[in-house]
Amino acid sequence: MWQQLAQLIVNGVITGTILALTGVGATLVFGIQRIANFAHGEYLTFAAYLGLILNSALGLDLLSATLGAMLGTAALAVALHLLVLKPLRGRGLVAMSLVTVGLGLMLRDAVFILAGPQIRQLRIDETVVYDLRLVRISPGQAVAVAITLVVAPSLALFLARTPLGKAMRAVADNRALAEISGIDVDRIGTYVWLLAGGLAGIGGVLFAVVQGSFDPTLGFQVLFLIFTTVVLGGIGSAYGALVGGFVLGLVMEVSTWSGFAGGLEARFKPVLAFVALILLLLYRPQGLFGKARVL
Amino acid sequence: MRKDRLLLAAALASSFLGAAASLPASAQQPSFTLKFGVLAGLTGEPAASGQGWNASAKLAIDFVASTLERMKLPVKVELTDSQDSQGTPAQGVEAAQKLVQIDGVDVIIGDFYSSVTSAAATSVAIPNKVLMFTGGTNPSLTKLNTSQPSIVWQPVAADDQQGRALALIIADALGPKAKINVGARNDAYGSSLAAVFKEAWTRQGGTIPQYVIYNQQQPTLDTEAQQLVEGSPDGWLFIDFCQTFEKLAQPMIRTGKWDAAKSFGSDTLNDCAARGSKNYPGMRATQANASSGASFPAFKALFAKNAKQGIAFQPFTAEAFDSVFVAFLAALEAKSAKPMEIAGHVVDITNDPGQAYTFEQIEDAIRAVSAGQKIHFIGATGPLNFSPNGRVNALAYDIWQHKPDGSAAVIRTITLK
Repeated sequence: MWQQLAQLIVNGVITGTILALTGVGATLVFGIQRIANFAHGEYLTFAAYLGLILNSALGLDLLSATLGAMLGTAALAVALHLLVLKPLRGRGLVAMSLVTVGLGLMLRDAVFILAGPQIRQLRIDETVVYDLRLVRISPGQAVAVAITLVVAPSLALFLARTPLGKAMRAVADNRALAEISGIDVDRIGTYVWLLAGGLAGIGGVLFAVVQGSFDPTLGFQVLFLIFTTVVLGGIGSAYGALVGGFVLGLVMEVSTWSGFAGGLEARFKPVLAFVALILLLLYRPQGLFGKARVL
Repeated sequence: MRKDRLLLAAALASSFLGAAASLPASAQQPSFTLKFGVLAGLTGEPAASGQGWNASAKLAIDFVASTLERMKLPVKVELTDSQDSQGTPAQGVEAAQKLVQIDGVDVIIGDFYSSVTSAAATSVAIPNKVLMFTGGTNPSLTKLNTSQPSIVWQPVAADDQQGRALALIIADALGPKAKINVGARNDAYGSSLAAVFKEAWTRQGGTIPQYVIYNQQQPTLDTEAQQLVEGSPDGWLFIDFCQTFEKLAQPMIRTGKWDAAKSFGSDTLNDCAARGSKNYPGMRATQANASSGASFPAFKALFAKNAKQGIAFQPFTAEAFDSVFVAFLAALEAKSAKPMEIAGHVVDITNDPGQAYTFEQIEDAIRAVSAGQKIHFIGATGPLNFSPNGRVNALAYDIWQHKPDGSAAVIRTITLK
């Protein structure tokens, strides 16, 4: 029973890794650009397929492929921002969100048409496992957790200590005041998309590694869990998204532990995620880390 | 003078009557255009299967159309449009609306997802009285036909039969009282078939230590995989589609406790390699009817010759192929493209008595029906024997096995009584 609990905690951390990393990008865009980016899931898909090209077709190792996917997805995010979203700025949250829904559909179908519906896999043996007696974890999953544990604090430091990070926080806090203070809010907006796209790039490849196989619906499948992470952590709060992702992952997986009166049936895990969100918002409407200030 | 005029009138009348009698049969043939629409998941998760379904339906329609043209008959068939359901009920309803309201189709071939079929039939096909020939196997689809003649037709045996077939096959392989863990996707197809199997399996004395219904869209299925290897099972039953089954299979392998050779799958897992995924050597799966017809090899050859590059052949798409012929021959017998009139002849066309014809003898079948003769159409999937409630009565199941080289093949065919 305790071994089962230990394994479920590891599973929860692995799930949380993906939600945390992908949630941070989405929450930054929402908090700073005031856009609910429903195409964010497709950025993950794009990253996974770009990683596949670099890893399988061009023979790069996984780390290089991840870096390449990160850069490629960042470029995609900036391009879509400059070509589509920036010209439409000011149309209101609902209209902009609908535009991102359309962008997402377009991206998903483009991937489908170009890559086909077949299941894909990165060049990594998904059947290898590290047996640590109490828990079992695959090398890919271990790498995903390790990368997140590096990226997450680095991101927090960047936002807290660097001039660019502080400028992003200022724009998120009060756009008009930041502009009056001399901050180029348009340029900051572009940097936010660059950062969000880069994080989605890392997240997409790691998601493909953790899941083992993927198809063009990779990112779409977790889009609502990503937004649940964003809301749970507090909209616009990068810290919140990081913590919220891990909390969500742990809640979903550990809830199936047999020590909890037999455990919740696996099919109710997403239900529990939303119940947890509702309960939290009833008690704390701004989310875990949401306040007047955003990070 | 008056007598001359009478004689002339009689002569003219005789010649008109003689001319009418000697008119070619085609002039007395019914004249209509039967419009087909295809509803299938052409993109997204079901795409690999949906493209094959669409291709098979199109193949059949083209085959019938070219036959009619060759015979110079005043009957036409056409594929008005193929609409993408994306495997989701909401999108399926929208797609079906387009087929019915805008394209004005008489018959919809699809969907092969029970959840999509149920939604599209309830919201669109039944209110508008447009026939549907579905690949969906959920038993509840039959209940959608609340009046006669039926509107929703299932050319493949429903899951209440597949559940029995699986129980039979697993009992034969592992013993009737074996411990079988069941893993099924959380949708109309998975949960329903799992429940049917559970009932059939436990009734005969078998046990199910772990019964896991999982959400196939979860980021990871490691927890579910770990649950499925608990309880020291003698074997496993999986009910899923290939795309998402792979997400479960890999963590199953990582547990070190899973044996594919003691695993069985539902009809959607018979050959994952053909659907762009991979097979697990030793694993077995069922498929209803699909290859038991004498004309199946001919259908397969036709598909290989005419289907677009990149669309993999899948045996279950023979159901789409057969559905077109059934609908067309029923329309021909009804002498009408009106859906409810077609529906009244589906049972007649697919049952005895009557000379048996396959699609390879379609010209002869058309002549026989046009001459008012009773025929019995045999599909590429074998005898269909539709009953008035919309179900087929022929219950043959192929047992597939995944081979060491990654391919899959039928190892046996059983018949349920």
